[in-house]
Amino acid sequence: MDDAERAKQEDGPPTVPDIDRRVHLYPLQVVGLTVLAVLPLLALLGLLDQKLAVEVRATPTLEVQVEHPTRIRTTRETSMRVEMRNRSGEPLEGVYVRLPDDRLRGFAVTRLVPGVSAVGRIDLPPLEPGEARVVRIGLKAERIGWHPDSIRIVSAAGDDLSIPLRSFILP
Amino acid sequence: MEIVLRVALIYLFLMVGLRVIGKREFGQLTPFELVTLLLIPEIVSKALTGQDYSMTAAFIGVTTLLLLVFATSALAFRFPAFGRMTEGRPALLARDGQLIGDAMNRERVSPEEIRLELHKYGMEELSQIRWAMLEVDGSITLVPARREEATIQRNRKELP
Repeated sequence: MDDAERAKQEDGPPTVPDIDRRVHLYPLQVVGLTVLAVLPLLALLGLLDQKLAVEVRATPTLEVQVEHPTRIRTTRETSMRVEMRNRSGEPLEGVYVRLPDDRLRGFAVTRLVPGVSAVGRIDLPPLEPGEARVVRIGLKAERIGWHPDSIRIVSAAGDDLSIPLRSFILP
Repeated sequence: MEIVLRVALIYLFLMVGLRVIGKREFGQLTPFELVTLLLIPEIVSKALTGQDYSMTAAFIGVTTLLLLVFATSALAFRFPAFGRMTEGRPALLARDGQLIGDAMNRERVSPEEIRLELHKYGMEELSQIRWAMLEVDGSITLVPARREEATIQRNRKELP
């Protein structure tokens, strides 16, 4: 039952005649709506979400795998995972992870597992042949923009691996 | 992606919820109803962004909401049936000086509210109105009766 029939049946006020309804937009509205749609669309495609990348470096004695955020929104917390594996047949001593300037550019370090031994340095116990250990670094994105950085993993056997990190912190 | 879905879900939920409680709630709110309704954004705000206080999240949420509002209004205009579903339709509360009890009960409009509207329109008696309508925005509109009809209605009422 349409409104006119309904009004007649209820003896209500008469309705106005309908028109051929079409949604017409001003050109500026079309532009505006398209611009507005960009952000939700990018978000739906996952292009504004946190993204992690994995970097792997290896020497004959040490293999390092670093999982770190390459894209994150400001104020969000995440963590970086550094895994070190002894590839040699001998115990590997004096392994440590070094953060430049005790922090990573653009991030605040919220947590370190295991804890730091010295400023910006996390020492690990000797690695048995084939053994792997993981260091987790809790991070909070603080400064907007691109932040190229690096992290060093050193061992007493002469390994000195520098792994580049590149993070983009969204506003 | 999560924020777009959260906003869309909460938008849909509020649209259904507010439709269910009825249009009267928005026409004339009592202080208590107003305070209660103001609690809604307080409750849903945390669910909208889920502890993400970044500007990116805020912009995604706002643009999603604006697009949903536009889409709803465009659909309601283009398809009247959809408009009736989301906004409801006006309800006839009184006809020819007579209150329609069923409609008033359904819409929770009291005779005192009709009397108040009469006074706002500068009228004294129910017999002076032809129609009283509860509009979809929750307001009550009165269509005055023609003078001669009002006189007839008044005389009819005064007869023993």
